[in-house]
Amino acid sequence: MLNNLFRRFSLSIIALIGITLIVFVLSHVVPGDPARLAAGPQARQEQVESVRKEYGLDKPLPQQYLIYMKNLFTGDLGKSLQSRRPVTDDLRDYFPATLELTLFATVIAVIGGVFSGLVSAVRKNQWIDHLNRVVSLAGVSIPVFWLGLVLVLIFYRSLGWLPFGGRLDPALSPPAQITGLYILDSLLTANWPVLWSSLAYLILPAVTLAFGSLGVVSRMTRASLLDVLQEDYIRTARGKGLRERVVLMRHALKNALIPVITIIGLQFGSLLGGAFLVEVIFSWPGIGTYAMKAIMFLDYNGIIGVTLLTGIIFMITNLLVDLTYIVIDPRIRAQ
Amino acid sequence: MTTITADLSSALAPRRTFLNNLVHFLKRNPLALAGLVIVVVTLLVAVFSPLLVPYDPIQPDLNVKLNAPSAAHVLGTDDMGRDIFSRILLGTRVSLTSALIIISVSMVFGLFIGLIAGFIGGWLDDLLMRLTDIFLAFPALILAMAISATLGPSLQNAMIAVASVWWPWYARLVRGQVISIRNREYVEAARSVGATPLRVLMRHIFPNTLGPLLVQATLDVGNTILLTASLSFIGLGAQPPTPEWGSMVSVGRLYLLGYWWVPTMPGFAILLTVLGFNLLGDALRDFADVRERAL
Repeated sequence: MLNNLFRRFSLSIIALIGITLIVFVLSHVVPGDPARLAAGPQARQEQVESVRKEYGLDKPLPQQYLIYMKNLFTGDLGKSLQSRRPVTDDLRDYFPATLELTLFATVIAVIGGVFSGLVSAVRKNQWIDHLNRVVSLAGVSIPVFWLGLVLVLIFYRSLGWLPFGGRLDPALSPPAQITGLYILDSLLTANWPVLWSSLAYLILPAVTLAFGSLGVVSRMTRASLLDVLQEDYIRTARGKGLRERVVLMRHALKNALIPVITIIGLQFGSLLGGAFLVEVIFSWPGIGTYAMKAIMFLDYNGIIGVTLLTGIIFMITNLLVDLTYIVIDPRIRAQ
Repeated sequence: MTTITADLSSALAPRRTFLNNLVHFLKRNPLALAGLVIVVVTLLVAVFSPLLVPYDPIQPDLNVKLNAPSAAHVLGTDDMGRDIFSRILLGTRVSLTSALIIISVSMVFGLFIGLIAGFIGGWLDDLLMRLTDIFLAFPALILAMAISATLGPSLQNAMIAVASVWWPWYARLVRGQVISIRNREYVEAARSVGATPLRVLMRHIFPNTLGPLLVQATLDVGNTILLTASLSFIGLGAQPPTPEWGSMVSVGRLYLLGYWWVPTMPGFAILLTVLGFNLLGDALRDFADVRERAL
């Protein structure tokens, strides 16, 4: 198992290097002059040339790539052409917002999905199960950006229940930065007004983001639970007179959750991708918003930086999922 | 007497043809039927949309800017006074053709790589599979975004981007099929009577990988439509004034609070189409499973 983990880890590293190469080559063979864009439309030719030199864009492509890779291994992602700051600094500023959004959405998707999957399995083929099925299919068919707009119309414009746009009431100042997650930071500093405000601002984007994954988790929980409920040990548990609740929660659900955890790991990747779209809708200042700016400015360092960061997070999540198996399943631990 | 029993048995047990099975299946699965209806209607709209549109979907008409849905414009008009219903109808064609092209290109590429990797094996297999790993190591939307951003914003580039994150799944599927087929008795038999490796591959292995690949491709139509629309929404896909659903939502987003129909109508078209394909795909998979069990 550990061997397997190590193998997976090294493969992921190769994949990350591979992607730098692909994006790097692609970005430099297409038309469009990043130096011209960074210098601005009014810039004189000398200024464009000096930007070109400053960013090393005047060197041959293979040399540019080698320099990029050398810097990458020291944690330097180059300078952003749009913000004129190191990409790592930019990512450090923007990433916590995305992390907060994605984590909160994951929590909603997991709790909601496992609960509705449980209900579906217990009430198999009754109306609530059919309803869950339709909602789940709608969840994977809904464009996340459209769902966001509709929720804004309902809960912000019509009902006025929830705020929209940004992470916090503009009248409030952000909590002292500890983790960069507003909810956590305001909790830690006991800043209640900020906590309420940031929660209120988080709900709509997080629900929007979670909806698709909630359905997937729900279907997986249902299927896995129905499988487990056929097992002999469930019959034994019932046979020895345990209450149905105990059988379901302690014996069935615990075993049924193993494949569900795999799905959650995979869903985290699609949540991260979806977060980019949700951030655009809700003006959420995360790496998705940053990526949009980078795209407009042909800021290749920014684009590669964001892509690598999400790749690394995706990789870490999958490794964590594998580790979770070892923790929760003694059978795998023994191997 | 014999005629009566014969009549009875034929009435009780209809002939088990593929079509009968399918009809029976659809009758018992209203959701599958709904999916089929949506897909058929969408396909018809895509083919006949130029004949169906009540207004010119491209030409601005500033006299009727941002009109609410009414009898004249059933889904309202956008910021340029164009009829949203007409644009959605024509958008069907854009979305379906791009999905079709993306999936065909990915299938051809995936088939090629998968057949080679599975059939030849060894270091080449390792190399090709590591190549697919690179593409699978990232969330699909983000990788597609990075690729299409570097290629520059256009529908064609967005399609290239989506296809380049899609083919690795097909390559792996085909490779798996080839590996499970290549040691079957009939392949062994073909080899032993002296068929060349190329003939074995093309005549005996290749045709048997197509079934699962086609089922998967059907399941994927909805997802590719979603992914392409997402890229357009970001501004990387089709550019205005092309009537593409994702870019219509993207432009219409600015009018959300005052003129809700501008961004929501095209988004609903995406939802309905993708849902149709997903319902049908889901049912297809169940149907294929049932058939497999029956065989």
